Amino acid sequence: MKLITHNMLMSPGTRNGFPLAIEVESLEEVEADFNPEFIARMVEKLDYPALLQTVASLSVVEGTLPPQVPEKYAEDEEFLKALHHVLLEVEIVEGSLVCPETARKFPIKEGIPSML
Amino acid sequence: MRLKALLAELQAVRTWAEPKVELEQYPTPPDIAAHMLMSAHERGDVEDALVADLGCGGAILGIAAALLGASHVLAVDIDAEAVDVAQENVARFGVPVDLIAADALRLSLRRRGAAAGARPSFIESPFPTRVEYERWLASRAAAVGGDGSFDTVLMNPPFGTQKHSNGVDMAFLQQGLALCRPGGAVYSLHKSSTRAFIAKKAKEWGAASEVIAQLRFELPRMYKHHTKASVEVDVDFWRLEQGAAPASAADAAGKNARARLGGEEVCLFPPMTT
Repeated sequence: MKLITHNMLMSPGTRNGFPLAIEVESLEEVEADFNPEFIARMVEKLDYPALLQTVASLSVVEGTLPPQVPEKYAEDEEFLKALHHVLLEVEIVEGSLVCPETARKFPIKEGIPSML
Repeated sequence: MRLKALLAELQAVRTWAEPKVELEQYPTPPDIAAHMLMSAHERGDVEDALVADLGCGGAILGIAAALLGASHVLAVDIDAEAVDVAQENVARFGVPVDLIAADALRLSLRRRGAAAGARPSFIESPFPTRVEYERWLASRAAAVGGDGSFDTVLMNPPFGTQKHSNGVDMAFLQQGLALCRPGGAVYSLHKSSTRAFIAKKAKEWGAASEVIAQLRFELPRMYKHHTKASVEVDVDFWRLEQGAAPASAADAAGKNARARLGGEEVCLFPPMTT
């Protein structure tokens, strides 16, 4: 699971089950095609504070994201590249997602969260 | 990529050996998947898009979207075995598809807008009478959100025509629209016998609807309750567009009520029980 998915995912059946905490057992950094237009459009859809919080909790991921979205983010290639890396190039392979409301755990195995 | 090339690629997508009757699993054949995605692509709904594949099975629709240039795909299925097959397929193609094992109808995704899930009580609401308030709640329940993040949602849902699954096809459609951004599109397959009903519901949900094509879906004999070797059903290939329907009187009433509430976002989807 990439962090772009994590930034949308809520704990099922809750009102405040977002963002899910990530307990990482293994994580991979992979390479993905950089598409600045797509990333710029994602900025409006993201919960940016939640993304920062998540990145901060994953100490292994290099934190190059600024504390706030830059005003002219669509032209800010450095920012878009950093965001691209965090959203699409960090794969949570093994671990758990933990609901912030109920503490219920959802296992992640081979990159796939199970929310059944 | 052309249709022929896409079809050739999709022939390599594996399906699974034993479909589960209770889930009404019918794998989408590669030729139908290729046609669906080429149609979506021609309408500008695939390239650089954020795409969801609901009830994905082997994820053939999601993989096809990624092959045609979708930037990121989220594929979801309730059946862990199907998700395993999807994972093999995704790995084989090396495409940007994230998988989640979950009930697509209960999938909780964060809404855009901070007040997601909030709903004013009668006392907080601007309605002078309980009756007007209840009417407003009912109109909200009928309309569909469009405050999701996805540009495009793909699905080949259960037909929903067995006793236990009655209506699940409509629940998938409604969930698809709820996950779309305003102006986002849902592509889906439904029995042609439900055409008038879907058109009516789409209007109620504030979505524009269009049957792009009618297909013959050959269902091989996969289940014991099938008595023939295979059976052909007429299936419509639909495109629904979030928030594009001309507002009916009921929709307009809902919109006015929303405006009076200061545009506060209200969660429209209580968790579904299946």
